[in-house]
Amino acid sequence: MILIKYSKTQGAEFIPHLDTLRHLGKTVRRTGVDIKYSQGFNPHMLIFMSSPIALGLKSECELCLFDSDANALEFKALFNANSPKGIRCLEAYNVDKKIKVVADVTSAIYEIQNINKFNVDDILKAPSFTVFDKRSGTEKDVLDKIVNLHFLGDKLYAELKFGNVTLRPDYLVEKLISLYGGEHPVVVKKDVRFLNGLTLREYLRPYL
Amino acid sequence: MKTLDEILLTVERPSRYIGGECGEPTIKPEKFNYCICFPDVYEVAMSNLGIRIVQEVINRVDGAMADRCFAPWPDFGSALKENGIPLYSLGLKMPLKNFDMLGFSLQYELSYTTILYMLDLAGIPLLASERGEEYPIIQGGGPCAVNPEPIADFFDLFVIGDGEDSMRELAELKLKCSSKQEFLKKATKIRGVYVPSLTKPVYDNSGKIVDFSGEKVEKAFCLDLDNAVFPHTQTVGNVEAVHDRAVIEVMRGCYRGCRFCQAGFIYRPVRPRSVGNLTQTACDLIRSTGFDNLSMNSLSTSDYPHLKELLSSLKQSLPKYTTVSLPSLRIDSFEEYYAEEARKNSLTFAPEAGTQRLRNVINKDISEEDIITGAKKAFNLGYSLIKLYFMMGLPTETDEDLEGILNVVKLIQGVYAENPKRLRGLRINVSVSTFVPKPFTPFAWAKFISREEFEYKFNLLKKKLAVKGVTYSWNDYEVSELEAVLARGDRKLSKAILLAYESGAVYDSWGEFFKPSVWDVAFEKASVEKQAYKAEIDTASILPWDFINVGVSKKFLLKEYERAKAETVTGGCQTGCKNCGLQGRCTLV
Repeated sequence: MILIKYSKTQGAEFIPHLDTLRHLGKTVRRTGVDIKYSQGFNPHMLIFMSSPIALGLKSECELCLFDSDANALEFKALFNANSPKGIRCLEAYNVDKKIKVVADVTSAIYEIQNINKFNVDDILKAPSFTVFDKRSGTEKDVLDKIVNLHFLGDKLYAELKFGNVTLRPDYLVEKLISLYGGEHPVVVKKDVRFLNGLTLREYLRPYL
Repeated sequence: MKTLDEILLTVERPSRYIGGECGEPTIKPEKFNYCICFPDVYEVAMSNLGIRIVQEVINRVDGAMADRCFAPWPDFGSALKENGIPLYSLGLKMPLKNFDMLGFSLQYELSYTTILYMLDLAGIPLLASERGEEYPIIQGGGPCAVNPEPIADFFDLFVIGDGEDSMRELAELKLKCSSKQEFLKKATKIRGVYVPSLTKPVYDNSGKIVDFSGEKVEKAFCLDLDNAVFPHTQTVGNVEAVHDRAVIEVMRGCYRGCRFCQAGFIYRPVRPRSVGNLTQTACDLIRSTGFDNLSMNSLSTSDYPHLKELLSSLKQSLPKYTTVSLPSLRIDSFEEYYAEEARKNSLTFAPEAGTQRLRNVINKDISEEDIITGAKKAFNLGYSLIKLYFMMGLPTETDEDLEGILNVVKLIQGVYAENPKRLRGLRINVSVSTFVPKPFTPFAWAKFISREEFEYKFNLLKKKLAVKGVTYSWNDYEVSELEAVLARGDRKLSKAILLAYESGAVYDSWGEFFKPSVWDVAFEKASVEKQAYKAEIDTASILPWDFINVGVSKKFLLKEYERAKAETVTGGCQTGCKNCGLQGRCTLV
């Protein structure tokens, strides 16, 4: 198995989840690397992706698992020589187990630019915090989905639940702008955390 | 004012507008900058092979480059307009206004208003007469260019016929010319080029065309396809294209000569590519794109003379897990081995007419026996969904012919009932489109049916086809009617098209945007009588497209029209030369 961490930037953030899956499959076919196929009537490539990221949000930490015995470092070079603009493999690992790239990811850390500074405790220590959920058209209390908020310089870093339970950062950003002001926000998904707050490398250590 | 990135966040499928796809040609601004424009949405445009060939042809010319631009969906179009962002190309993100030439692909008549929409969004005046040297030259090409008259006022020039050589020559000429007028004048010397400002129809007092002033136009031919430019890579769409697969063109032209089919005549002579060339192209395409499906395109792929050899060569050469599709199968030349490894979803056949008499009229020489044999082979392979294409409103059609459609359906149901291998119930989708007479076909002079006739025929079919397991679908009358008017139109229609666009007509081929009332008002304002373009045409009259020679002679087409009326089958090129006018160019003779 090969686990890759890849980026979706430079326009690729506008490619939706299922089209990204198509691109990953085609990119791998272009590399010529052997990937295992399902053994059903209509065989398909064995690719496992992490939970979808909202359209338009840049990311430097998307995860994808390929069922292949190839060497991860060689795979990374071949992948980057064949991928569409903005989809770049940043790290690749040979792992000896099918990693649960959805179930075991618990949160994601987003870097948010162009938001006016505010005291994060106003949110973290409040009894509740609601954002407008466009999908359901209602205000929802999401305080339990905010793991952490902190400023580093002018940038806000927000760690939000991700995986089986997700808080979309764009909903949070809209609320923050309405409360504290800001213009043309730029949101980049920088990292993910696994069960017990482990980083990707910490989480992978037993399987490498 | 919003930035482009902010707009992209608010529109449907923003990845249509970002470019940067894998396989996109590497380009930079050159001395001659050309942009191929497709007047439909990204998913449709990305499925078109013609524009890829033209882009490749131009990019191979020294000092020239070709970018691409597709029509934005109305949500993105409105946002561009509101925020003052001019329409831009996908590769270099360069405003269309900054190119030297824009080439529009004319695939269907209902895309004409979308061409104006693209020009408008680019900030380019719509009428050729209002565009000075500072604006790009607007060029058109593709199947609808064989009758460019309805849109002649908007274009500086058209390329009629194959683009492989003519587009290269055009680019080379543009590199040498300093002014638009000099270029247009010299361009008329290139085979296939038509400049509407230099060739004009001459009308008599009653408004009938009596002659043409200026140079006549000969269609451009590319006879040696094996040595012609063909892209060995393909841009993989950011959004899944309608035909999301690698495409090879196995041959150009069709042997058959069905009398209603424009493509069957304007793409003559038949030019099959060699098995070696196709295999090499297919392997290159699959390797460079990563597609797992290859489509073997042509007007009638099962007529490709070396099909068995090609399929076996592809099977040996293509990577594992690559499937091959054969569109455009004919029921009388369908063989089991075509579909042995394909997914057995559905099989499409086009008998086009319900009775042998009417099939003779349209020169579709397939018999009931052929249908039974073809259906048997398909059912033996495991197919249980058959799609059948028919037409209504064909010349000489009677109620009996329409009722015959049900007989064909029953015949196929009967074959299925006898098949011991059947696992589930048979489903038949019957699609009946309205016949539209097209230029350069033997039926170019035939009438387009009236609304009353349409209603009558439609209701008759609806009643007859209310059979278990059968789904009946049809085209709206207004859509086919507009197509009929535009297909055989003359220059007087340019005014109506402009008025329709100004009143909101755009994306007419999309049901949700088509506004027949807008068109009716536009025709009235432009004093255009639709009936004049729908009626049967006197065979002695001069047709708006008579200044173009596509190779097939008018004499042959008229002879075929007479034979149709006499219910006589002529057959196709495979049964001997029928002297269509292409002797000398045709490799079959």
